[in-house]
Amino acid sequence: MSDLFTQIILDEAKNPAHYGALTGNHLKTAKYNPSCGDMIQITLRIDDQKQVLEDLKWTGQGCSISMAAMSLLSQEIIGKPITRILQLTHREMLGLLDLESIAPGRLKCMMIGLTAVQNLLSENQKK
Amino acid sequence: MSYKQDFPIFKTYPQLAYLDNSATTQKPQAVLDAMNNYYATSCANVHRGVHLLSDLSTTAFDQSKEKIATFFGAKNHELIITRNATEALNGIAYGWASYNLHAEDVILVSLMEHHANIVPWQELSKRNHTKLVFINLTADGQIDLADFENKLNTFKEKIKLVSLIHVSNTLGTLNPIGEIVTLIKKYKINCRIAIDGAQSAPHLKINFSKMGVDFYAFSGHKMLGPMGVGGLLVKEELLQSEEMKPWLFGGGMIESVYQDQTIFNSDLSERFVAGTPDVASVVGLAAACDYLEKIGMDKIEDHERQLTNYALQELSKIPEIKIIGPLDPEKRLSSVAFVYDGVHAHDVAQVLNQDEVAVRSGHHCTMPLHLSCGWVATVRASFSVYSTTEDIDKLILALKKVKTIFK
Repeated sequence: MSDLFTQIILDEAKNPAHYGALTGNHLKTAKYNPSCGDMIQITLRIDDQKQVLEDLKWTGQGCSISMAAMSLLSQEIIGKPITRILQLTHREMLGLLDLESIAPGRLKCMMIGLTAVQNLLSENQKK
Repeated sequence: MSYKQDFPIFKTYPQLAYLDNSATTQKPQAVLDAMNNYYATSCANVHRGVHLLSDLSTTAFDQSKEKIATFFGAKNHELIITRNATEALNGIAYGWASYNLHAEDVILVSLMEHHANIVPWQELSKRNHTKLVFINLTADGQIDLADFENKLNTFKEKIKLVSLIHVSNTLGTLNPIGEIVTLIKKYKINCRIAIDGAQSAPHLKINFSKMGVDFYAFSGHKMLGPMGVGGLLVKEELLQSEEMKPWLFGGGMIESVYQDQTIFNSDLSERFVAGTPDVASVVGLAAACDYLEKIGMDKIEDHERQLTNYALQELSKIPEIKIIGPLDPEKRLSSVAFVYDGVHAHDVAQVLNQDEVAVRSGHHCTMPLHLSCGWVATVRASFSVYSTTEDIDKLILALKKVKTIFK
């Protein structure tokens, strides 16, 4: 349990990457975690021709796990193909956070950002 | 005094400071034994057979229900067994409000309500076009009685239900139900009054016959009983006049069924039991009532008041902590919630967990309250009969570690 607050998680949560909001042409979404009150707002831009995530910025209020997870995720997925991002699972999130496992009570914290991004991307695909 | 020896969970986790009692309480051996004994000696369906076990089961169910009703100062047939307080509040919406409330009728609740006392009314308004109106709170988290009077005055006879939490599961506030009933009478509002007693039943002596309210909802699992059983107390006159109707239909609750119609059971205590009830849990809840009664609810209230005062006093010494809810110990009961400056509630709770201190973190199913106060999430320590000052000392000690991790 004490392993949860690793230096990576504490550092990422304190100085999150790609924090902010995109201006200009973009898609946006917000997701709420009903178990803890965490909120994440995401703006992103897709390169329609190449079908890659061109850019992403986010803001949020939440625990260190949700903030660190979103920070690491944003660094991982910018520039990646949409199809690849849609395939990411909780196992890969654990890998990004350098954790072997996470308690069930913290799973939603870790997944809030990825779920929001994937929901937005798949909704966009349906259009 | 410590009652921990009666609770097997503390044999499994001797060092545990369990301070999440507003979410659910641990169960004493007496409750587990009663349920086990029921299944070992008396298991059969109730009110259906003439064989020995059916009689034993029916007797166990009826006596347990009687015991629970008496515990709350209610008549046996005034108690409708539900799964929990949430189902009880939904029961008011489906069994009473659906039939008696119409477009533009007003339901008054407070801003500190649990979601269980908000969402059923929002859903009702989609069906019956009723209006849900929130009473404001004072800065220290009490019902603003001036605003309440204002709303009584504004909506007058349109108000058909005032539904309030007795003790707030987030703020810890003990609401002055007596004063509220008096104000409703003062303005001559002819409405029904419902109380969400999920957080008062475990800590206070409840006398339903003298409360001056029409409905009282409670959960068994928050008062040392098993999960999956609770109750709705309904004033006898509403049942007899059929103003309150069954909302679950099927076997058990009927007198006769024809192809084109059904006559409901004239026995009020059976009219609301559709399908096979959870007899073992009702037996377990009766054993929990016995256990609480043996100690005495007055003694339990005193003990928990002392703990709450001690927690308030010790928590207020930590500069990073801001306590929410009334600081006057007389105005609150059995829990203290707080915000830790700069550290999310989940992270605080996770640090505490490392030292075997169990607290709740999040918005405690009171999102409108959290949003109106601008809190993302709060940490809550809540007490039960077996809680001790040592548990609170462990909490305080563990809280001091938060600063070292989240510098």
